[in-house]
Amino acid sequence: MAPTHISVKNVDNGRDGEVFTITYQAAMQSGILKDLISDFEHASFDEAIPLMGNISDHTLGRIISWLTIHSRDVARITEQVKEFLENPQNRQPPTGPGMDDDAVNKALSSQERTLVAEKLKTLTPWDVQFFEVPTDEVFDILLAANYLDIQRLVDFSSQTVANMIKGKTTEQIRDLFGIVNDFTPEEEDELRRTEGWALPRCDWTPEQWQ
Amino acid sequence: MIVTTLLGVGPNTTWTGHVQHNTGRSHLCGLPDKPLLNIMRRLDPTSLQCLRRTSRVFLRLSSSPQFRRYQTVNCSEYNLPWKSFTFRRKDSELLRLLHEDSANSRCVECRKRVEQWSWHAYQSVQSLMKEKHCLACKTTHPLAYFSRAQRRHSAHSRPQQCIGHEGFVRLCQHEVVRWDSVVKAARELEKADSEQVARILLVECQHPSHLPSHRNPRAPELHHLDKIHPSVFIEGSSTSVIRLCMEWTGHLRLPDRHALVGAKRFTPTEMTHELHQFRKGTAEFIAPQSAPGSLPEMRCFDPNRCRCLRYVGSVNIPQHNWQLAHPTYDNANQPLTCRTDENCRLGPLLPPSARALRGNDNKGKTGSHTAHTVLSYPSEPAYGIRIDVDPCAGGGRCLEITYRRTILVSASGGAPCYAITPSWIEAIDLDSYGHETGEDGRRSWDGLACREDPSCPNYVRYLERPVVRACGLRRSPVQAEGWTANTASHPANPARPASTANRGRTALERQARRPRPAGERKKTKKEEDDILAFAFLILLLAYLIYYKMF
Repeated sequence: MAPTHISVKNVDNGRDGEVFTITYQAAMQSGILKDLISDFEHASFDEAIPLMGNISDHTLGRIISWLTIHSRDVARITEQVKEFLENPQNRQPPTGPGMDDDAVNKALSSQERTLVAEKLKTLTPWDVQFFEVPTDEVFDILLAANYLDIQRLVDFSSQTVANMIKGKTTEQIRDLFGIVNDFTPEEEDELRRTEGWALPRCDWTPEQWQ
Repeated sequence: MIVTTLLGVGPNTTWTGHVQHNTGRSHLCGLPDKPLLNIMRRLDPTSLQCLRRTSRVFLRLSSSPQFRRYQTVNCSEYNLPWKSFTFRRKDSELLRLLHEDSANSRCVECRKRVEQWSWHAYQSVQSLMKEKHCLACKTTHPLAYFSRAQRRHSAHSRPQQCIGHEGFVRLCQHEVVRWDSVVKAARELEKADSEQVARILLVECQHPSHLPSHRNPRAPELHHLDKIHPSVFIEGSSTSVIRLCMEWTGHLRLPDRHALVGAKRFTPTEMTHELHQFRKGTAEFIAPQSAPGSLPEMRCFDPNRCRCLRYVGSVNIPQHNWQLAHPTYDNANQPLTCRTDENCRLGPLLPPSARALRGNDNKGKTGSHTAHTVLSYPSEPAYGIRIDVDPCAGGGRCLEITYRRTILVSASGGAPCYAITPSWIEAIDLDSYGHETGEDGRRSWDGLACREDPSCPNYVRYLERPVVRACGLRRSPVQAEGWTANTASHPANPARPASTANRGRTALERQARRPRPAGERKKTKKEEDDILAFAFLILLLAYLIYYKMF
């Protein structure tokens, strides 16, 4: 029988971290926890599952809160989509005389799946607030989510990082993420020569030219 | 900015330090490949372009097979270890971002000028693209091809001759080549009326400073070296392309001090230092630098293919993080490099112990390292600079470095026209044509902002001149009007259809080939207007006479 609650803890260099408890439904969003639970189906899960991913207690706590908040997302969004599709005006597939019931149901279920998948990809206001943290913390969450195999959280974190990058110049991106120029002078020159051909060289001034 | 400047002066030891820094300390670059690709897939093309220029991590990932979102094209002519992105449309936002970065990387003087940039200045630049007649070439050029003195003179009369005729190309510190002598030699090739490609020696500098320091008259093995004197050839035939070749093979004697300090191999910094000394006098004219700190010879030692140089600290970095190309990059179409084949390593650069094992006979056992810089103009796709580095035939710690620069003189087919070409203009010595001294007492050069600071990417003496590049890339109004459509056959060769004869050439080149009788010059707008007004008057007069009579 599947447990109702599961405890996890961070283990770093043999030192046990804080123990966090989450519901079974919330834990199943993580690929790693899902595999562990299915592998030890008959275990009692009285003891906390140790996680070795070098995750800090603070980050693990935030991820547990994210998992708890989003544990009923799939069911909730599916319900919303079903309600939405109950209105015939919102249905995209034609329900003409040429289509039998099976074909209509199939088309509707396909549309439902698409809508649910799209809704699951959208950042909610809670998520936006969740990622309003320093840049370092966003990367900690991204790394931890990648280790725990929580695809939605990886996608949300990636989207947050991508939003930070958008509209910035190369130098601004370097400054933001602490990147230094690691190209050899020859490589940099080649980049400029082969891909910078469209770069305008407008150094001329009216005083020079007239 | 500090990092760029440090790299600019060439301490490549800091370069491996920067790779280490990015791998270990940057949160973004330190992420595993999978989340990084996830982030890159969420970026618009403009942001992706900016991101992939930040670090080699992103340049590698954007060329990887896992990242196939955008269509990429492999620049085989450049032989790059990464894939270049195609510009599908004019991305003004990307241009703005690139220009912002480019402006910040320049010297203080250039930055001031960029800040002063205005629409008025843009109009001034556009006025330089207008075509003017050159009496020397008997054809039209963009106004930018005339010296400032000639342009100033043109306020009252037409410019007399372009900088291609006014100036010269410098072969070395002792010898120069003028366009008149080039044309004279080209006409001799034309007179030969043979399809066989011939070669005429134009200039050869036999100054002893160009000879290798280890040259010994009693050493017969060095006598076969016929390129030790810097020389200029003109080659071609009456039916093929005629081009000018500047060639020189220098011998770089490497010092043995590295064995004394215990280092095993040359570092890029040491090699750059040696090459800086070696280039003075000849190579600096044939193959100028194209960016601060980037010597064209160093492309022969590209760490993505070559392991002849020792990059300090590179052993501590995962290989995929600092070498952009996988060793399997060298497929059947690519020549073997020393990263994949030990025998291709340059013997004189090996540590003393390894050289002792190989013996002195390096020839045939070590490979040649080649770099090719293409000056890409639409009319001259294959003209540029080629540099080959080989072990010296005489053995020992000596490298043979061969420079070869090609310049288009006349394209193949049709009647030869010896108007100057963009690659000739690019090679012109800046000190060889008329300048004016500004109020500050310094000489002013055309179209290049930076005159004093070699660490500025816009320094006047680097390989490419923005004015020539801009004129070479722009769409000519002649091309837009469809000049070729009105003629049934090529004017110089009636058997050849015009559409075939003009295919693949720029409007400027086609116009240059258009025969113009001696003494005739292009009519100005004012003259055309006068002719129209005169014709109108005649018609009016005829109408009045007709009206009076009837």
